[in-house]
Amino acid sequence: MITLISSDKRKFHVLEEVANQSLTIRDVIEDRRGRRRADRIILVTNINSKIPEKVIVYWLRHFLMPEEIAHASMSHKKAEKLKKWEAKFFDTDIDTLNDLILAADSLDIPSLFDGACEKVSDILKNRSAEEVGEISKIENEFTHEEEEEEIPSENAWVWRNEFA
Amino acid sequence: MTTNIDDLIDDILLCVISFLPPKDAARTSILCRRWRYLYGRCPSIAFDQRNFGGDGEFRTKIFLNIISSTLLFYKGESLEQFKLVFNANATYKLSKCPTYFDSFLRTAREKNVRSICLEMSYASSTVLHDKTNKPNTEDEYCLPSYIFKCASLQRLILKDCTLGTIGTPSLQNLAVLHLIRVEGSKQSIQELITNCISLRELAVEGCPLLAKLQISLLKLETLSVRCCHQMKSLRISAPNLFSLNFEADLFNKLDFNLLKPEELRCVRLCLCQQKEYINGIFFELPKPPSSLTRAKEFTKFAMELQNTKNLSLASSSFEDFAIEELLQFAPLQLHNVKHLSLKGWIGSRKAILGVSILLALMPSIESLILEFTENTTEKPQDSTVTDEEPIDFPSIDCLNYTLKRITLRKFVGDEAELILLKHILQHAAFLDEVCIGWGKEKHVNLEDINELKNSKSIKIIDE
Repeated sequence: MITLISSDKRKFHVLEEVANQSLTIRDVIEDRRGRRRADRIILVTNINSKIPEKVIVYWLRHFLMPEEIAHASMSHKKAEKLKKWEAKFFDTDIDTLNDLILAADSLDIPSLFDGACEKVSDILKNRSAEEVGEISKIENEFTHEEEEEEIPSENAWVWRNEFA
Repeated sequence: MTTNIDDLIDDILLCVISFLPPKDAARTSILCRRWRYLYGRCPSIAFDQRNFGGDGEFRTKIFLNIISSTLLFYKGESLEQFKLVFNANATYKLSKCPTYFDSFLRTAREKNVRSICLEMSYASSTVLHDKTNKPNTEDEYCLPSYIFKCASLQRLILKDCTLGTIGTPSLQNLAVLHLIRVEGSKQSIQELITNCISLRELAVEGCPLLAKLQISLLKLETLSVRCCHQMKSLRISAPNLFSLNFEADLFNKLDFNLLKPEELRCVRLCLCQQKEYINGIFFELPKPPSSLTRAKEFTKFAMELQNTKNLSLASSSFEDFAIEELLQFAPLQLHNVKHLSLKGWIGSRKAILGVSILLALMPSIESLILEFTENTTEKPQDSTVTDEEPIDFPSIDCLNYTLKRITLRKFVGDEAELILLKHILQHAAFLDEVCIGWGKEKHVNLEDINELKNSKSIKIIDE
């Protein structure tokens, strides 16, 4: 058993085999092998407790079939099921997704990272710059000239409507 | 505490941007100062002509110009991915503007590209090869040889491309190579494969002209060879092979040679004849050569599969396996096969015999999946199974203790299927579970199958 502690001091107990899906955790455990029990506690900083919960759920789902995923030998039905499950899993608000991306990045879980990135890009897809700015809470600080002339000339094709 | 998207570091944002379609990705540059130059560093450049409407000369040229300016203004250190998909039915063929193409590939190479994916799909994706749809080979654009000298390349996926002269490839770091409907001189494909010494994953599909292939790669783990109908000789020497997917005309004098793959654990074989493929399953009755030659071919094949645990066989009809000589080949027993999956038509006593023979050959099966397909053979089915003369099925006593689980797919419960099911149930004493997925029709109620009703210990899952 391994204990993960989130930044708001909540504890999560996970089987070592399950947590091994995080390459970071696997390395840490490998380094500490043979030492005291206290060393099986891992702090996951700058992540609030909602995220470890989600990450662990993700781990458990993937733990059941790691080899099959790696070698693409999964049956069609199973792959379909997993796809559906992932779609549901990633169907949350953009803030949670950002947190998930951060967590996946620091814990080094490539499939989770890619999945979350893809979902965020799905949310930003097919929207105007204003909408994207609103969703991502980014303030437009360009001057009028920049916005009207300079930037559109850089990638001219993007602003034409013919490539819908 | 929540994370705003703007709090993420550049590298992560670049990953998010690389998932966006090119137009949306480029538009992120107007969001704010920080994002303005992010797009220029996005490590993935992927364009699909189908999303750019129109395929006339004018549109195609604009499309090509957009790609070349995107490539030119790329500011990152190394390019992760460069992907191009061209419209299948474009009226303006790309072969008319080879210079664009050459410059793309040259620029990509200068940017130390890691993954190149080129798709020039002519045929629809379900039919794996159909020459009538292809333009004359003279019009086709041949890939320049220098992309085969790109040392940074790790992944190369080519669909519907034509290889020109490839010189001496030097792709030391290439780990993944997919050649799908690739044409070229006979030696070029072989040369390419031989020289990629670090390959881990190789797929050769729909190269109908390929007659001989020798694969000798130390690191190879995954191999898929499909739809190469002229294949006369395939020699594989890959000690670390893990997964093999091979579909070919097995009984058509194929010289198949697989050298000691000790790791091989996952095999998918498809016995098939020629021409039409629909989702990889083949529907046509084989022109039967004498059963003894077939038995020998199968033996040769089986000898190579001694370490295999999962075996799946698909055939137009199980009659293919009704070769009683198989039982006499002692070394043929595949003791390591634990999970067997069979797919094909069953509707005659001969087909049932075929299945029984296969089962008798694999004495350690724990789970068995039977998928029944419709009769697609040329033989009309006038007579029902009951009219035929009974054949003695070989004993499958060996399954007594091991078989735990049977899964039936597209089960309709006609006579032939029931005979087979009863035959298996009679012998499998320690069966735990029977899982039934019904087909379109349903000729029988589960309660009517005595063998299932009598044994209380079997769990029946009715899907």
